[in-house]
Amino acid sequence: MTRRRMTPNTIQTVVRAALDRPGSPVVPTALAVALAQPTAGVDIWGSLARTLDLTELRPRLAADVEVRVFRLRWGNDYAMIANPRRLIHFQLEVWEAELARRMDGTLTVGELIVDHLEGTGDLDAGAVTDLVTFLRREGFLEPLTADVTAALADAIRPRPSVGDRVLTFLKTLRLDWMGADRHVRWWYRTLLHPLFSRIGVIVTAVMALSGFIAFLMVNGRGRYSIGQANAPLDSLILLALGFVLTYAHELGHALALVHYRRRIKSAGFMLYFGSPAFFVDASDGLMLERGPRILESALGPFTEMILAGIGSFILLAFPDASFAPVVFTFCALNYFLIFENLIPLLELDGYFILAEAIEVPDLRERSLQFIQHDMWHKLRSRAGFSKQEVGLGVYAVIGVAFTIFSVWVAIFFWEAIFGGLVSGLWNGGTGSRILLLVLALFVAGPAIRGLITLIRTTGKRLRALGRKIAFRFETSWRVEAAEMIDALPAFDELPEDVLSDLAGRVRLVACRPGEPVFRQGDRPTDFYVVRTGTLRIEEEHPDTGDTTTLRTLERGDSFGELALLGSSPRTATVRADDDAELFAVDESTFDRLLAGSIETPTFRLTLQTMAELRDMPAFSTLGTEELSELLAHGSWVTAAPGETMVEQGAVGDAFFAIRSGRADVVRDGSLIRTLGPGSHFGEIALLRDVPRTASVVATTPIRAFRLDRVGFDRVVREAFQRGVLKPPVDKTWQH
Amino acid sequence: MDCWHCRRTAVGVCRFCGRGVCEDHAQTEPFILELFGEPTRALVVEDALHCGACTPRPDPIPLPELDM
Repeated sequence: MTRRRMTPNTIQTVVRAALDRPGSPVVPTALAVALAQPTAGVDIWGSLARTLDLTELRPRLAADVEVRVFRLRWGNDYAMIANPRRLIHFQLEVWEAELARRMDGTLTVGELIVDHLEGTGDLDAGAVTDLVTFLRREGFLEPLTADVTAALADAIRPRPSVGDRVLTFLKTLRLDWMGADRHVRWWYRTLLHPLFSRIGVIVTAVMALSGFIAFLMVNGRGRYSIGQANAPLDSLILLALGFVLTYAHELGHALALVHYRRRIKSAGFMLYFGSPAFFVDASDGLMLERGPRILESALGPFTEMILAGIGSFILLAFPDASFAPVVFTFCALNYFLIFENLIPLLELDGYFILAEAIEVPDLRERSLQFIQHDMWHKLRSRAGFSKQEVGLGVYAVIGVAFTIFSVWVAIFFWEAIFGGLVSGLWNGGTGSRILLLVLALFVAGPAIRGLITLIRTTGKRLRALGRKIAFRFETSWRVEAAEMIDALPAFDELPEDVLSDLAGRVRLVACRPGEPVFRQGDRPTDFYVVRTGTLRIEEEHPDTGDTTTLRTLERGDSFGELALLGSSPRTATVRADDDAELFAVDESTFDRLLAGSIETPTFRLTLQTMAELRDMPAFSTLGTEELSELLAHGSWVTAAPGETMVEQGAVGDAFFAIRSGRADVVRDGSLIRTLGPGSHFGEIALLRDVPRTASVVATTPIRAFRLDRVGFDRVVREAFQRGVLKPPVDKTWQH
Repeated sequence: MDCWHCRRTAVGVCRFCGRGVCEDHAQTEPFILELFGEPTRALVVEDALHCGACTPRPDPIPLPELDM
């Protein structure tokens, strides 16, 4: 039957027709049918392979992607990349940013790797491909593609109910709002943009400063104190004003972003240690230059200063008004928060202003790391400190001390202001007490979570300490294990640190008489060394279940490594004859140990070859030491089709086991047998000490292991004598 | 068939690539069974078996050869 050849146009026609049919399934039925048709001269799979080959990709940064490199005076340069469509930002190394800029669609990834090598002298192809993969995944490269996986995940994710949202809020104490950008733009466009003009800046600065002077004047008269507005109603009014204050503060930050044509990713409301607060995700500000970034940080407290200034003017104008004590407390609270915000020792606005000003973006992290690690090391070794280190140390110490101090001041301050609310609610009956408890729960929520984390961490540390103490008591047998592993022929090339690591992870396993360590067919999990007792290796016949003892293991013998190497099931059962103790090394430790030894090629080769030999029936019963002996007396040989491997009548000097390929056994010109993978030949001449009784001629390319007479006598002869291996009978080998 | 990761007996086959995978290494991913016409609707399996070794591309691959 002949099939009609379809042109690519026909395929398109079929698929498009199917796609156009409303409501009909198109994938995979119609598409699969269409693609299954033979096409004329189109190598779809080759094309697909080229498309998916990352080194052939010509990456092109999307037109709207922004890359910015920031050069800092201390040499701690960094770069940022922004995807405005998803409003995501990532910090890059400078070389990564420069490489990203070269992604204009003209160079392949392979060429970029070469460029990177020429530019930096560093042939780190993985770093370049990782960067390209990352940029493509995060939508920084063109063509912009639909993320089907994400779309699918979004589509099938159940919409959260109101109850779910309330639960989420109770857990996180935070509500996110994605529409903040439009809201802030409205404020900027309709009302506040004049404040960013020169006149606007002067007016607001004068207002903020004169307001502060007005507050000092009012405070100097001594008419009010912060504890004066202590009634529950006053406290509630202050809470509401505090809410307005944080809103204004965050609006200040957000307005700066909008002014510099950046966007607000999200904003929201949160309960920050019981206090209602707004927040703004200002991550787009990371793309700003240093000056605008400092201004963005400063605008939050500055906005608060304006509000506090307005409050101070009201106090000055209406000193006898009934609301004056509340306004005074509001202003005092406001100035306290501004002061706290601007102190660069806490990670608040003042800190970010300082970090930007001195061009150390990670100042706090670096200083804390310094006093935790480097400082003690230097003190112990009596090494000198550089100026920068002294600065980091002083900053860290003062920062920690100030953090503790500010917590104490905050407690005093908030107690003075809101103590009235607490006592009022407590004395206001059952309902208000419940309200107080709910409020307390909100306030204490983060503290309770912190306490739970602390308990968990302490538990983990105690468990680790227990393990450490137990480990000390196990030193003697671990040293013994290390010595025994060191004495094993397979591991004698291992470096000491690897051996020591191995010994540190070894387990002591006890086996009762008759108990199997593992069974034939089990998944390999460990490598073992016999410490005490005797064990036997048994092979179970798959059909009858009869067992044959292949070998006995005693102290110093090892087993289980080949199955681990080949990731194959256990080929035999190992059972304890009497009470036995074993050192067990788990699979991951064993793999790591071997991976660390790959630098020693002979070791790796030996293990691989040993695993290969063990796969062959002629050598499957041999232990590690016997396989090592085999390797010492044999080698892999190959033969081309038609090549005679053994000549009839010649002196028998070797035994052969075929790994792959076929050969004919010919006696006096007649074919008597065909050999294939797993077969062996040449043993008759060695066992009976007679000339070769037949010729063996390769009929396909052959790979075989050739074992010399000495090796045969030492290792394999016994297997033939015990009947574990049998000389061939005259029959044709068949698959 | 054995598990791609640990060589134990596989209990299933990855819906995306066909690798065998055991219970311990089985993962799940949403899988599109059928797509229907305008507006596009999909019949999906939310927890199709995934081996964790293959990486289904989230974006369609251009094959301009089919546009001839």
